[in-house]
Amino acid sequence: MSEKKFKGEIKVASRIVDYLSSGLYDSPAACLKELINNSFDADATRVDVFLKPDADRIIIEDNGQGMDQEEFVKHFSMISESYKREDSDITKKGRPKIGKIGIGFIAANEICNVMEIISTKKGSTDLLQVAINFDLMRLDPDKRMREDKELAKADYVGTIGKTAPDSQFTQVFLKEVRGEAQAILAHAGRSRFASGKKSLYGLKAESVSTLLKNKNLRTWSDFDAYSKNRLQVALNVPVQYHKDWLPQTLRSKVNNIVKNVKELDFSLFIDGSEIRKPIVFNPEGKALISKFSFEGDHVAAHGYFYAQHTAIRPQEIQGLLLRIRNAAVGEYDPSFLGFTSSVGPLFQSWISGEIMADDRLEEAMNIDRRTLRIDHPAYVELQEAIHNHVSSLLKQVRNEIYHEQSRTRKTKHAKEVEDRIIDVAKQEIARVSPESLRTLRKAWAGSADDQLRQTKILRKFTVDQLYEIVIEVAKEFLSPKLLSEFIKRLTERLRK
Amino acid sequence: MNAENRQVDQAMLEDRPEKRTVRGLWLEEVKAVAREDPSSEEPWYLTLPGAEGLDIQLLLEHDLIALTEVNSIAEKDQGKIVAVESNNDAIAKLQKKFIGLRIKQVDFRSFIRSEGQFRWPEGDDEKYCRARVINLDLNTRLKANIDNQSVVFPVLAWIDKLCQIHAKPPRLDWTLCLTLHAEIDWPIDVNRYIQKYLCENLGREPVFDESCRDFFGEGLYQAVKNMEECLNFMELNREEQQKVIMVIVPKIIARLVHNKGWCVRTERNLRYGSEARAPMVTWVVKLTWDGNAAAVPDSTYREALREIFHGVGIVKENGNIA
Repeated sequence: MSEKKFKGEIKVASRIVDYLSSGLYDSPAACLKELINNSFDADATRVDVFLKPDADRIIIEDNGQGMDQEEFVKHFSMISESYKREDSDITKKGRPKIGKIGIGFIAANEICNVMEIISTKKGSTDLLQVAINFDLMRLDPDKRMREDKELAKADYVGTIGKTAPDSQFTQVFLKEVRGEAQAILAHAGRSRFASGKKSLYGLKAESVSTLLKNKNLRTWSDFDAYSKNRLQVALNVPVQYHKDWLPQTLRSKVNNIVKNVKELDFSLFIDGSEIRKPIVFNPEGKALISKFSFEGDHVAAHGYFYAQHTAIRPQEIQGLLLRIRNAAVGEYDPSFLGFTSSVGPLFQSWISGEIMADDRLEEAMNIDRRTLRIDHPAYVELQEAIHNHVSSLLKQVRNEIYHEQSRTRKTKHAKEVEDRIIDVAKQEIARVSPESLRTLRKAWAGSADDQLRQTKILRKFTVDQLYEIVIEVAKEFLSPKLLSEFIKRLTERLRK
Repeated sequence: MNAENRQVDQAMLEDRPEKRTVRGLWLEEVKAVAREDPSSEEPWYLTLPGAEGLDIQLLLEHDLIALTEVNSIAEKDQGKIVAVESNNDAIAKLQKKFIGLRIKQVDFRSFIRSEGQFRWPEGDDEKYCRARVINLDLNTRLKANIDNQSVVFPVLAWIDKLCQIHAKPPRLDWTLCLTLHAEIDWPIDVNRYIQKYLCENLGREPVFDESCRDFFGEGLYQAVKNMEECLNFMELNREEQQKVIMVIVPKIIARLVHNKGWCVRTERNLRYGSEARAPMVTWVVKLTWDGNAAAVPDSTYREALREIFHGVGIVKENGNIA
């Protein structure tokens, strides 16, 4: 019996782009960083983003290598194919390309209805101008069909204009920005996102750093939505660290990490403010840096863990941040990739780490660039290495920070008690008996400096223990009548 | 089109003394608003600034607008200026130069919802149209078309609409700064209409008639009055064309709005542009709401006609006003 065979072509409607990217990005910041990372991949050294005052139109401009018609068509015809790394996975400037499947541009469809791209390449007088209407792309092809069976509108419409041959740039205009995204991005003044909270708009990097160091800043949500969005973008993209992001004594330990980022030569400005990584530590007491370096069979990674006494603020930088090719994978993970420990909950909020993993972990990364497949060998191996490191780090934190801080506190307390004893002795006992003063001095002076004597001077007694000690001593010297009076008075004092 | 290729932006880039003087006049109007009503809920200034935004630059240089640490417009002052610009390239340049500037990406005709009376700006756009100083620096000729047997000047119809928007309670007095290219390029039917219109008005208000005679010169004055012969305004020399525009624009504005409660005072009525340059005319017109004006339209209109010559002058090449 002959089997009837059939074959056909699976056609993909352009609205698949909408399905593909819908819900991929959980915030306007996630969409913006995709476009900024595109500029990074285009070897831009400077990107300017303009959101204010209304974010009804967003402009992203970079001085990267630009794009011509051929590249545009190739790129937009092959979304989800590995075009971006077709020739090389590093840029001409030697940067590891962040984008992989070319979906970054399409991220824009989550926040706006129209995207216009204007671009030119050095040496060319062609000026590419393309408008992509996401609204039309989202329509059912049936609804876009004319009677002659042709599609009523193209997905994009472009022209080639003229410009100076020495210019090189790409401008992306996001137009008809959707209401909620607009409210967040610009903190426009007529929504729940406008709350009169502090804003980072118009501040220099130094001022932002000062604000981030503020002890009263508990969370990025203490800022307005515009600023929070800006911080989220800053966390992800390969911008530089603030100059004073770590106490000076610790900075030398992470010199290479700072240097690597600096060498990328990438700057981002949002509404004129230079954006730096929103990672700023301002310890009150002791702090430490523990370097991390791992070479495994499936993955290699390096980075640092910072720990301080008391919880790190703002809370968004507690935990572990993974970076692949200089871009963050999601946000800080406060669980340190699922680390469980009895002491974890106390100390984990004292620790903040950044780990730069090699490309092999990228295979474990989901399309949203926020999450990793937890059963991927690279992830499993790195997770184990990190847990081991965190485990030993917690011991180090206990010894070097917690215990030491505890010892320091004890010494200080012992000194205070010692001083109070001498004070009391000077005021009350010296008048009666100089000899007694000498005895007290001899017994307690210097207690703060000796661990054993420190323990003694800081001993605490309950009321019954106090009665027992005092009465036992008193009855050796006092007559029953005086003892009775003494107990009465002592009781009155203790009950006050 | 690139902003660098647009005539309007090239003109701006040249930053000539005449234009600097004109910008100085605009600045004074905004300063007056800042002085008299600093906490105005409406924007102080609505402008078509082109890619260079030299008028906005001037406001910043005179500290009328607060700036942040990074020289962007402070949030508290972002409501004070609204720019209207449709070109992507110009917008990118403007936004980069004046970070935080509110720019409506649309051409002014669309912004005002055309010259017709059926569609009106709504929401924020309506609010922006109630700016205290509106600067229409158009660098285009005064276009005219005949619609239903009457002549319509689209630009002047926009001004009529702006008046109506300002007349919504709470009514707001406002200042119009208008600049037009003064070369006349009307269809022949419009020529006839304008001649008839001017002629009628010369007979209506003796002061206007006398002033026109002085201003036009005897030759042009008589040519206008001679209704037996159709005057082709396009054949006039550039100075005469400028003068005709200087007269008819404030006159038509007054005609359009006087019976709706607006007193029109032409503060400045200046021509500029040397032989090598385009002939230009610029006006500063104060529009003041007066509840009685609509009740006595004829005297309001006559008053407006007399005022047309109040601020007549020429901006010389060195920027001096004569």
